[in-house]
Amino acid sequence: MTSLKSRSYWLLSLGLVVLLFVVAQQLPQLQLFPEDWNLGWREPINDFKRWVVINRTTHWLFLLIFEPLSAVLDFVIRFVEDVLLWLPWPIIVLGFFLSANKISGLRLALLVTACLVLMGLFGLWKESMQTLALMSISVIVSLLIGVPLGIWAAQNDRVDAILRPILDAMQTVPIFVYLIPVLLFFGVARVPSAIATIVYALPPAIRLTNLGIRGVSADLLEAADAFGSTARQRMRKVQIPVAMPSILTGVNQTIMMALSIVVLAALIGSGGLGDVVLKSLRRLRVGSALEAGLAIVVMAILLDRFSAALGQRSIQFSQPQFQGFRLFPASWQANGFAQRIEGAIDALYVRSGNLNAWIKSRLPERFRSDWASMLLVCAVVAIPLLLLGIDNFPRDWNIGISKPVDNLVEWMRVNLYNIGDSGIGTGPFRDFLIVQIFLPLTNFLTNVVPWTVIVLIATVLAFRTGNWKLTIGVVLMLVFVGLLGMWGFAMDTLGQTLIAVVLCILLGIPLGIWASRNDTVDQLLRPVLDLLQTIPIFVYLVPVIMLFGTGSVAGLIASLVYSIAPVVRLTNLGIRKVDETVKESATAFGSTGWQRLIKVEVPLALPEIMLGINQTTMMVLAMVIIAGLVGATGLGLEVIQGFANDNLGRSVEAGLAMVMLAMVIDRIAQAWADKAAEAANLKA
Amino acid sequence: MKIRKFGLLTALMAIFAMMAAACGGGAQEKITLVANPWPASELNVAVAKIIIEKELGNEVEIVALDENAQWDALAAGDVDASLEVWPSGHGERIDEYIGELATVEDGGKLGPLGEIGWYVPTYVVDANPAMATWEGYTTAEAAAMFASAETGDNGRFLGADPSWVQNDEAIIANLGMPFQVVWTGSEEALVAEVASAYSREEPVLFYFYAPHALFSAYDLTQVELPAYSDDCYADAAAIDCAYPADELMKILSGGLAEKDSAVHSFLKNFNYGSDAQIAMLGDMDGGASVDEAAQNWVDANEDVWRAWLP
Repeated sequence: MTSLKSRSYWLLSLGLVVLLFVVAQQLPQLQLFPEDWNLGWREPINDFKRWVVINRTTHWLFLLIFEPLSAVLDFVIRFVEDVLLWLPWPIIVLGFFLSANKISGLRLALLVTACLVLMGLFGLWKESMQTLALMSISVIVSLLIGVPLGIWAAQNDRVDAILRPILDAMQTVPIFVYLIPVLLFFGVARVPSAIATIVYALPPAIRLTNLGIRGVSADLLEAADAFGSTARQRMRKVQIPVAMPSILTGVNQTIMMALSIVVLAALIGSGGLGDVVLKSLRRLRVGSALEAGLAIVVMAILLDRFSAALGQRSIQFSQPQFQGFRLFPASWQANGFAQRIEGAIDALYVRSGNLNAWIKSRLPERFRSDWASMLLVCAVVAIPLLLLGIDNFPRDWNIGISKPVDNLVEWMRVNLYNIGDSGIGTGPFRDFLIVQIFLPLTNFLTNVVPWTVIVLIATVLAFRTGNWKLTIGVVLMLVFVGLLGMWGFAMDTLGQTLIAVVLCILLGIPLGIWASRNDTVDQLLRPVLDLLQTIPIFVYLVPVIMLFGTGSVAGLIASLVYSIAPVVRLTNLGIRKVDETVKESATAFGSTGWQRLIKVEVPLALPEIMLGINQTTMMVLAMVIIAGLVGATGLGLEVIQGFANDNLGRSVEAGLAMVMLAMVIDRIAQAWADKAAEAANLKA
Repeated sequence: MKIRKFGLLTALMAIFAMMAAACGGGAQEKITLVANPWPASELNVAVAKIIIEKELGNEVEIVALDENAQWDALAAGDVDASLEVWPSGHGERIDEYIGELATVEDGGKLGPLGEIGWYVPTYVVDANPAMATWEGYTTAEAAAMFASAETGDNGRFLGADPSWVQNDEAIIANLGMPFQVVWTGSEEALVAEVASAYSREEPVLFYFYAPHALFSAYDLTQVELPAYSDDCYADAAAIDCAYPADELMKILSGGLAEKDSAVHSFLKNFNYGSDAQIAMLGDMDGGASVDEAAQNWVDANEDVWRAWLP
């Protein structure tokens, strides 16, 4: 509502809020969400589940549709898994090495080799290959579904409008909600794990394909039309190639999302690395859990770089020429030893190139290619290895890190909990948070503030930042949370989310600003943030509990660790993007560094910062479920309780409430970020 | 183009061959057993796998599955059996799946008794012998000793996963103890919290159960509650005595008897004492893998398992 002046709008809103607050004290209907408004979805959902359990082995729906589908998928995954486990491990490493070299170059080839060998050295070769098989198939299926859907959505606005909320829901519904349904429809072990992974990993593939194709400039399309291309030609020759970078980001995100649920998939029998994490945690072996967690991270790096290189190749169309490989930084060039090693690598590289050329020249013309030659080399090396009976990575090469990690965790929980009984340490910090912040805030949100006031506040915010459409949507979504009977739990979760987001902002924005000023800090932070996002949360949950005890604080710390990355990254990006001339003119007007930061850089970077906060909030909400596992109350606990008590209806209701909460926050934050971007543009 | 067609054809043939193999029904059907993510459960199925494969000739596959998720898989016949269920955690499912729907079969007892109760680290009892029984926990001093930020003046009692059947709130109220139950959310969280307190030698009182790997890592003592009786459990709100023993049970898919009666009767007979589990767990602490520990037990105890065979 732009006609009202900003200040009077807020004052009026504040007045309304206070008025409603007072009125609600007299009217219980406005104070607590009326229980008899409950939609009562729980029982019908449970009845449906029971129907599935009873008819699973007899009904045509399962016999003719789900079982064959699941049999085919099971066959494919098992086949890939069997092949990976049957092949001698050096062949797999060699195969990856050669293809990485062919696709991108020696640098990638060495990285990929290091990743694979590390999995072996942790003693997790077999588990890694199982996870690799499952992940590759899931990602491929996600892309086979996602990219065409994304193209369709880009061409058809109605499809796009229908897909959008579905994709939001797919990403925010906690996976615990659909673990049981997936299991009911697709059986156990590999297939349901793959399906759950696909459901979770699909949205980025669709979204980014859509975004990329919609982003192709109109001029380009007109030019294509002018040359008389058909719609199909235009898509294949112009739109898809131009949208390729965006599509590839989608591929990359899909891989990351898929790997982030490896541990949860182990609950329904995926086996592999996720299972190792679960088992280790049950036995308090933090070190072994960390090893398996790192193996997952390493696999993410491997797949990420590999897919990125593949994508780059499809964009460039040309082979990079070999220019000698630099293993060490340029400043080491003077060092004779470094020179000799690099020289040896170069020589070896050129020799093997010659060998490849020689093999290729002997091949029949029809098959003459690098790939055929590589296949031949692998096969020749494989025969003696197979005869020797080598398959998995040798167990006794194990150089695990679990012992030192266990010792470190032990040391931390003894020494950091309460340093020298001084009242400083993780234990007293936990107590402070609980007594001073958590208990008062949750009590305030659940017991003191009437539900109508929360709805009014959301309305005021939505109306100010967006339009009437957004406002109606927000109100409907919030009321729906109440109708599901989840109002109290949702407010509990909202309180925890707010605390976590505020802490992320307080820590993340200064870190981001620091990183934007100092390249060394930036370089150091980057890999740390990547690691925090890819390492399975379960892995650091146990150390967090040991340091901070169970309950909301453990959940909060875990959320903080997991969710802080976007704020830091985007603040850094936003400030770095501020135009040099603007900065210079600010300095010319005599502002100090501090003034320039507050008055110029931060306001101009606000759109990015808002986007970062939005992403962080979504990630915090995704962690709510994990917080439930360590004793935090709220929606997360409801979902898990439903899972554990054979009450699917309860899980679904709590899961839907979570989706609504996430969408309300996301839509308002998004609208706010758009406003901020507009304002920043005006200023610039 | 030709090559591609050929490839497609072989793939299709492979799929048909596989489906034919799956439906054709060889003499021996493949058996799928569930391993839950704790060592004893893995050991049970590893032992069963060795014996079934050797003596009955079926191929056995082991699937790692969550204990809550396994019920639906058993009901649908996707898996055939799970060998270590703690009934206290699955009361509703036992009623529904075994009783009402009869899609899951009660496979009889596994043998070991689960001992559910209240535990403290032994150093608590050493410093304060009164803490060996529940009477030691009725005073305000005891409450202050175990108090935490969220419980205020009350002592903190650590509960486990709130979905398990736990009567601690009733017991605490009915015995007049100034304590408050704090849920830890999951077994992992409870174990981590106990380990953390233990390493700092802090007092901690918690719900737990034996046998569990935790007992080999830490020295724990069970707190004595008034003895269990059926009368005491007649009214859930009035419970003021110890937990009954949890008799570990096996659960089988409802279709297993029809699918393979030999395996069905073997799994129903499968029963050993907790000493067998303890021996294998000890073997694993010595560095053996699950499969090795199971194999060692099978080699040394042929007289025991021979009796289970049909």
